[in-house]
Parts: sequence; structure tokens; C-alpha cells
Amino acid sequence: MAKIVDPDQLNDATEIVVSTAAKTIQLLVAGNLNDDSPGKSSGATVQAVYSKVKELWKSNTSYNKLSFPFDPGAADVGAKLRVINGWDWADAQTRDLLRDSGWREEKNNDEYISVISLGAVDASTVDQAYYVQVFGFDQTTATFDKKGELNEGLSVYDGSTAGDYRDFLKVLLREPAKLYAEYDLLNEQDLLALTYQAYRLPLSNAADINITLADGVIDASTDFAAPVGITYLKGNTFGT
Amino acid sequence: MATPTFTLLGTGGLTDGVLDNADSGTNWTDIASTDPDISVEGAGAVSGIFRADGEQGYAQLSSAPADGTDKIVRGWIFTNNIAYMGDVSTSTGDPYKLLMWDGSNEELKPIFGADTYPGGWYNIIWDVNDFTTLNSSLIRRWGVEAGHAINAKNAINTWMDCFRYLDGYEMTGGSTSDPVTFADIAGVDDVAAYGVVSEVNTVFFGTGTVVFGATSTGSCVFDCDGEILVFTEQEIPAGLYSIGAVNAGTEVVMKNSVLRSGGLADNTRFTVNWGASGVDVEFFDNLVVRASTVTLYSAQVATGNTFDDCGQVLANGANVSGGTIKNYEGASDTAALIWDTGVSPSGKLDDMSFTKGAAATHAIEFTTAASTSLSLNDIAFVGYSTATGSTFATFYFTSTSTGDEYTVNLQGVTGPTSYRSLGAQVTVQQTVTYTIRVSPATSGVEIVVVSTDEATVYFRSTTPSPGVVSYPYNYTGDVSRKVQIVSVPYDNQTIAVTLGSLDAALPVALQDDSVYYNP
Repeated sequence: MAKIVDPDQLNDATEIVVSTAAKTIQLLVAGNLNDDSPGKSSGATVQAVYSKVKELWKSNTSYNKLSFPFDPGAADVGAKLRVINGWDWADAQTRDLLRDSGWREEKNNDEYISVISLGAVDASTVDQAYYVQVFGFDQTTATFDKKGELNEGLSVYDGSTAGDYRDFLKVLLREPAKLYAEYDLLNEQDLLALTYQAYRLPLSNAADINITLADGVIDASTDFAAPVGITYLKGNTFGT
Repeated sequence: MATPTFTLLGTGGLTDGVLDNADSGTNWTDIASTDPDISVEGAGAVSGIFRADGEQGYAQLSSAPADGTDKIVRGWIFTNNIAYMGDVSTSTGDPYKLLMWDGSNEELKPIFGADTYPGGWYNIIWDVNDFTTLNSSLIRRWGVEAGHAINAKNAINTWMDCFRYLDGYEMTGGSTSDPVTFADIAGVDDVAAYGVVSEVNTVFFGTGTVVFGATSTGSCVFDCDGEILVFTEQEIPAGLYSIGAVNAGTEVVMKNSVLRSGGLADNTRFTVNWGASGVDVEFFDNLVVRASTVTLYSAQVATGNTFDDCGQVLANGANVSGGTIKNYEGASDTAALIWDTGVSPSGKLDDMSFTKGAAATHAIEFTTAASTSLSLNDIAFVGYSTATGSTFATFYFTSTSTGDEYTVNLQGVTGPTSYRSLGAQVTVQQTVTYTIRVSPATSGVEIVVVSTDEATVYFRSTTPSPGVVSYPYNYTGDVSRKVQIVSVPYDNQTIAVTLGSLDAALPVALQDDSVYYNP
């Protein structure tokens, strides 16, 4: 199944559930909707979700007595959709299914960007990209929700200073025996800060033709007089 | 210029109400010289000298010509003794006094002093019943006693003319092409010196009952536009001052005019009574000040009038739309306007304004004759209580039957709409129209009016072309609502509004939704 761009593919109470009691919009992995890797070919675009909810609001009297959940911003180009009027996405799965646009959740003051990778990943269902949101080689990394080419939301702000990651994002793709790729988003695109929109960044890999042996072969080899090792210096203030 | 024919009222059966016309000094004492040159009516007046304080001049008959009970005595005096008079207001010295005598007792009433005498002929007007020490049925002397601080010059200085009993008059005459006017009335009145209607510098002054048409027979066609009639302050009984119309065929047009009482006491208030049904009255855009009861009748047009500090307006089904009633100071728990008919007030009381005075009074009283379904449109109520049952609630229902159920439908009404009922069940509901108009005018936009917590839907409609939806609601007080504007091709909107007592419109500018996409 492909990424859903047609709101007609989202059926009320099947792929999409509106809870007027909880004031949530939920996307379900069901029917036409899946959350498989890679992200570029699954889920549903924010624009499609928005458009579907718009149609439901027009036709469903239980819904349209309530204030509309969205301020669309420029979600058609992947930017600035806001979830408003006390509404929220129902859960993490719903957020994982959203494609092509960042968003802001007013209820909890959360902001998400959409990370969309450009270029092919060698093994779309295997190669795992990951990211770091704080500058420094000793910072914690995390993997994206799905493997392969990226198209998914990433929290950059949760309403607190501690959860504010809008000033740094580095995306990496490093797989054994493959060319490494990484992208420092703010530096590369000369951004002052991230905001709730989609960011497209180059991230691709391929087999490293200079590597001809498997790791196990090297590990078992006696051709080296002494064990080969690499000493890493952790830190971010190297001097000469 | 029409010449009305008067039928005098309150004459006691006397010709022209005359007690003595002072054309000769036959019945006069001290003021007994006939003066053919200075008089207000007839062949002349009597004259004489008022020199010392307490000197009297009077006419005396051998017996009472008529029972003076409930009569208004009128007479004329002219004196040039103003320099010698005492004051009325300060009681310094003595003022001039009206005297009457019943054969045994004399009683005096102060009429003017140096501080109040305006000069010239002065019309003495007094309620005979005020002379409480006299036997009013036996009165046979009428005159004036001088009140001097010092002696006056010893020369003829005082004239008196015609004393009579007179309340006022009915009149006939006039035609559509040549209607009677106040000027016509004052002209005829002046010849006989009735003094009921007089004119000074185009302002008319009234001192009695004025009726257009005759009770017995005969009608009057009267026209008045932009005139002023002031009922003057006199010692007269309440109810004497009146302006009205009788007899089918009588036609009264009074517009853009002022009717007011010049006095401050209730006895100088005047009734307005536009006769029984059948009298053709057009009474509009007038200012009526300090009248007592104003009585109208069905089929009459009495629109645009202002009744300021007047008594109750008995509408009787007349059209009083556009009128203002303010400062009604009647008894507590009474109403400024009485609706005592089954005729619907819709179209009869439209566009009125009621402003409460200081007294705890209602605006409108609905009697048991009123319909149980009442519609009131575009009325402003000011100063009334908002509390049901208050003695100054806006509406007052006199039915004591708990089985009676009244519904008052209001539209465009502002101010308190409370009511007091003596027993009947009353529902007051204000029908107000809130119009939502979307632009560009387009059909298919869903309009939903909901509570602020969005739990309750009050109204739902889809705009027809040209994009206008009207939401009627019953007003019981200002409320906050949300209006949901729901459309697929346009941005959805939530607009917070306050629904008030007046019709209102909400213009909504629709914005194209550039994000919505359905391939």
C-alpha cells in the first residue's frame, strides 16, 4: 500500500476515528492505512487527514457542533498545521502515521517537524536511520520509527525548556559495509531554529565497494600482528 | 376662519352662566359707577375707588340665582393699585381677595398681590366648593376686597366686569375646508369674556373644559398644527381641566402641538378624552405634559405622541405606535398605559418608549379583556424592575384567575421585560432574529449555533443562496453563543457572539481553504 494522499481512502471509524468525548483524532493501522517501513510509502499525509476531517465536519452533525480541530496553516506545502480548540491526536501511533507536514498541538504546546529524506536508502526495510537532537558527540541518539527512506514526525518541542530541541538536529545513516550519510539540518540549511513544518534533507546510502570482507572474516583473521583498535575521544572541545 | 358655537358647561342654568354682567351698577356696592369705555364684555364695566385696605366692591342679589355647589365662579377685575397692594407669597400686608357671601357669612380667598398681579384685566377663577364656611347653595354676593399696605390714591382705580358660573364649553361648527382652530375659539371666547381659552402672542391658555362637538347634537371639525395650549394654574378642582371630543361626526386633527398644564399641583392636570368610538381623531406627534388621564378609542390614530408626567393612558385599542410615555407618577402598582381590549397590541404599540418615573409603576397593564396571546414590537422599556412580581415590573396582568395563561411575544424590545400577575400564568418571550450572512454569498455552508461549551445545539441550517440564514430565538436575557461556520471549500470558523434583545446580523467573510484537497 502506498502513502494515502486521497481523503477518500480514510474511512470514518475504520482508518480514522473522531472522538467527540475525548476530542481526539485517531488514525488506525487498518483498512487502507499502514505504518510499514519505509515511511515514504506508508501512512497518510497530513493534508489528506485534514481534508477528511473537513468533509466529516460538514456531514456529521455530531462533529460540527464542536469547534473544528485544525487551523490548516500551509499544510498543503507541509507547514504550520495546528491542532486547536482543545483537540489532540489520540496517540503515538496516530502521530507515527502522519506524513509530509509538521504540526503543532496547542493543547499541550507540542511541536513536531516532519523529517523527509531525499535519495534512496539501500535497503528500505532494513537500513535504520537515527538522529541526535543535542550538539555533541557524547549525546544520546535515537532511531527513527521506521526504517528506510524517512517520512515521519519528530518531536522537537514539548512545551518545556528541557524538551526544546528546536536548535539542533543531526540525522545519520550508518550501516555496516555501506557508505555512511549524515546531515546537520540547521547548519546545512542555515536555519536559526526548527519550526513545525516538513524538512527535506538528503540521506542515502549504498554498498561500500571498498569493503570486501565480512566483519567475521576480519575478526577471525591472523594476518594482523596485533589486534587492531581505534581509540575514540569523546567530547566536543578538541584543541590543537 | 370658522366661528364655533359654544354650549356652556357648568352654568347652573343661568344664561351664559352670568351672575351679574356689570353692565350697570344696579347690584353693585362701592364699585358701582358704570364705565362704558373700559370693559371685557358687554356694554361696560363697573368702576370705583379702592383706597383703604379692606375696602370691598361687590355685586349682591336678593337671593341666590343658582346653587353654587360644584361651580366655578369667574369674574374680571382691573386695578391700577399695584403700588399699594400687599403680597400674596409673603403675606406682607394683604393681597386682593375674592369675596363671596351667602346672606350670613362672608369668606375671602386671596387672588393676587403686588408680587403676582400681572396688570390689566385679571380673570378670577375659583372653585366655589373651596368656600367651606359658606352655604354654597345660597351665595348671592360676589366681589373683591382690596388688600393695601398703604392707602391708594383717591381716584377711580378699579374696574370689575361680568361674574358668572362656568366650567367651560362644548362647541360645534367648522368644516373640513374651514375647520375650527384655537384662534377661532379664543376669538369667540374673547367677545363674551368667558376666559376659558385665550390667546397671548399665539400661545393659548386654557382655564376650563374644552370639548369639540356637542353631547346633545352637533359636531365640530377642529384642526390644530403646531399650536401650544397651556392650562393655567388656578384654584380649581381636579377634573375641571379637560380637552376632548364627543359625537360621531366630530373630526379632530391635532398634530405637532403642545398640551400642557402650567401648574404643579394635580388639580391643574387636564384630561384628554377623545370621545367615544366614532369620533374621528388624528392625534399625532404632540407633546402632552402633566395631563391626567388620557383616553383614546379603537380605530383612532394617536401615534408619535410624547406623554410626559401624565396620568394613565387608556389606549382602548387605539394606535399609539411611536409614542413615548415617561415619568408616569401614578400610584404604586399601577401602569402608565392600560390595554383593556382584545385587540392585538401588535401594530398598535409598536416603536414605543416607556420610561418609569420615580414612582413604583408598571409600563403596561393588561386587563382581563386583553387577549391571552400578545405581541409587542420594538418597544424600549427603561427603569423598570427585572424582577417578576415587582410593583414596578414592566408588565402588569390583572387577571386573578390562575387558569388564565398569557403569552407575551416580544420582538425588538429592549430593557426589562418582567411582569407582575395577580394570578394568571404569564410567559414573556422575546422573538429576536439573528441573521448570519456569508460572503461570498454561497449555498451549502453549514451554520450551527451552539452553547459556549459546545454541548447544546440551538440552531442548525445550511445557507441557501444567497448565503443568508435567519435564526429566530426567544430573548430572555443576553446570552453568549458560538456560531460554527462549516464548509468544505472554505475555512471553518468559530465565532463567539452575544445574542441580545435586538435583531442583529453577523457578516461572515469566507476564506478559500487552500489546504483542502480531494483528488
